[in-house]
Amino acid sequence: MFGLCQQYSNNYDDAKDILQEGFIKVFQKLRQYDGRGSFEGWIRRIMINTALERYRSETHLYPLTDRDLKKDELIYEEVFESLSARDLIRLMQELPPRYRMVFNLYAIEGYSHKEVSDMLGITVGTSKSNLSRARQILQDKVKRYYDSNEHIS
Amino acid sequence: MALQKNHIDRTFREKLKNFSDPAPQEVWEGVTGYLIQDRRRSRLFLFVRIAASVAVIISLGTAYLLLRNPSAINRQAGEHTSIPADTSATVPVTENRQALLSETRETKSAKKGEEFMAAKDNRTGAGNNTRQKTGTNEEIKMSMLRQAVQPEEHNTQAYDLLAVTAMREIQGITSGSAGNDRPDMDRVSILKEKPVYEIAAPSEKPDRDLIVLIDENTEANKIRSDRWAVGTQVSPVYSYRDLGSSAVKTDALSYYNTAESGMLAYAGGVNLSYLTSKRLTVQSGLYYSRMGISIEHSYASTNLGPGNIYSDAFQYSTIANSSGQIRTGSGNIESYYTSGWSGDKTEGHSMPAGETFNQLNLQFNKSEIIQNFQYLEIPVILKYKMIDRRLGFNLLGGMSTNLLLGSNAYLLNGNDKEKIGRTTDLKTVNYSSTVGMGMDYALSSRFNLSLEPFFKYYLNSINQSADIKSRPYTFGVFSGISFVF
Repeated sequence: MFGLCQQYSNNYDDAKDILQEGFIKVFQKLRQYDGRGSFEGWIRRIMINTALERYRSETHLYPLTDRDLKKDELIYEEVFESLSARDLIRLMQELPPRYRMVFNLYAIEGYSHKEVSDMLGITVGTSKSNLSRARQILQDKVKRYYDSNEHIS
Repeated sequence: MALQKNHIDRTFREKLKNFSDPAPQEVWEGVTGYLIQDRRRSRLFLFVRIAASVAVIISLGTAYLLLRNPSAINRQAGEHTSIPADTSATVPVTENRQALLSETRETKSAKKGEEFMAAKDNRTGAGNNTRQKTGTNEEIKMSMLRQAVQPEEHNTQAYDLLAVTAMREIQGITSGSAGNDRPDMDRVSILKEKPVYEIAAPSEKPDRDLIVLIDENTEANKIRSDRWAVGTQVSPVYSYRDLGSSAVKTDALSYYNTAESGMLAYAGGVNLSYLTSKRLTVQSGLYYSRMGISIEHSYASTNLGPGNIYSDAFQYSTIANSSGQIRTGSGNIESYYTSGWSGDKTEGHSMPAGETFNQLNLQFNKSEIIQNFQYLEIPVILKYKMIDRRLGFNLLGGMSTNLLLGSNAYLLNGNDKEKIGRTTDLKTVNYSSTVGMGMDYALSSRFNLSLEPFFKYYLNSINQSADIKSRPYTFGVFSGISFVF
């Protein structure tokens, strides 16, 4: 679950906070688990909801480091394949919170844009545009690392 | 090397699916510590609820017992609708003690009791007839006087004389020549067909306890007739809140205490009171109360618009605060509001210096956002009268049910106040406790003015957040007027 919390957070400390809050809720709501679905899946949903609550309660003026976002950027398949899971998590932590949240819920968890828009209180169009921008930013970061021959580790 | 865009999604999904990272030890220590504290808080809250229930039961029981006593007096009086058989007439009575006292002043120069009584009879037009009343307050006084001084039935005449003397003391009537305080024997002689006894020397004053008994009986009469009151009150209030947080939110809590402040508001309503006993009143009613929080460290940007590359990412504002989420209108891409600015996480929350700052091609101006919470309050208040005079003093305490009516958020820009949204995630029903004291002044027998300083504290948090608990409190001074009937 700590890996999951790191996907949804800005940094290591935030991930610890989400993990702690999430497990407190797990213990407090233990009686509500009725056995339907896996216990791990139930805990996972609690962790994601905790991350969502934290996201909703905080406002970040997150500076976008990539201002010249170009669409239809070439995607470096091999570079992505070569990255470790921990590297991918670090890339995700560099995303603006709104983009990261949409990417997590759509690309990782598999929610539809309609479901994501309901959970985040945004429109379907915003969800789609945020997802697109998240992918562009991830590609751009990978491209920079590839072009500069720097390794993320 | 080109990939479908969804290959990114698949790559992330597959690589992160089996990724695991052991949790740091301090996380488990934090969870354990919080759960232990939570259990203690639950026990304490349970104890508080039990104590409050016991207090309410005791108050209601006391009110019931006190309410039962006037009925007992009624029953006792009803059994003595007239003076017992050995005295077949009543002592002449007057309706109004005040009128009698004024008569007394007028006739104080009268040397003989007979002259006084004759003058009085002429005024009332009753001649030599005495007004006989059965089951009246005055007969009750007499029977109570007798009961108080003499439990036995025999030898009642002497005690009747004593009762008459006590009555005259109360009514301020003196008879006989100056310096002679012997009672008017002619009055006493209305006790028909019974020898008139010489009574004790005038130096023996009537039993003051009897006078007290009469006073209490008069008060009981007053209580029986004027139990209800309807009134209205208004008050300026100062409102703020008490914050509690989970263990991981202490930095957010300290930030909110820095960025937020209380504000002035008002409350008012109508009430209905019932006097259960001489000193205890139960009051309820309907009140409208308004309170709120001022978020002083807020920033507003109004130059979002088409062409700004971040405009579609800021379609709504979420303004961090301790009460709940302030949601501005979605789809408004022209204005953006924020409270607090999270810079480097290691530095905690840090506010930009100065009145303006630029970020992401946006001009932000410092401003103030206020949250107004409007409630409909249904109180149940107990008032205990400490001093029962024309200017009275009482203590009050009770509980209220508060129903949320509205929770708007406004942007203050100089003298302008602009509604920007509303606070969500608030509970619709809350409970509060009130304590206070009050002074009331009887303008007349029917109208009272009141002045009541009070302190009101919400017993449960008004927001639904599990992390930050916000319990508002207000204090003010109610002033009002009431009509007794």
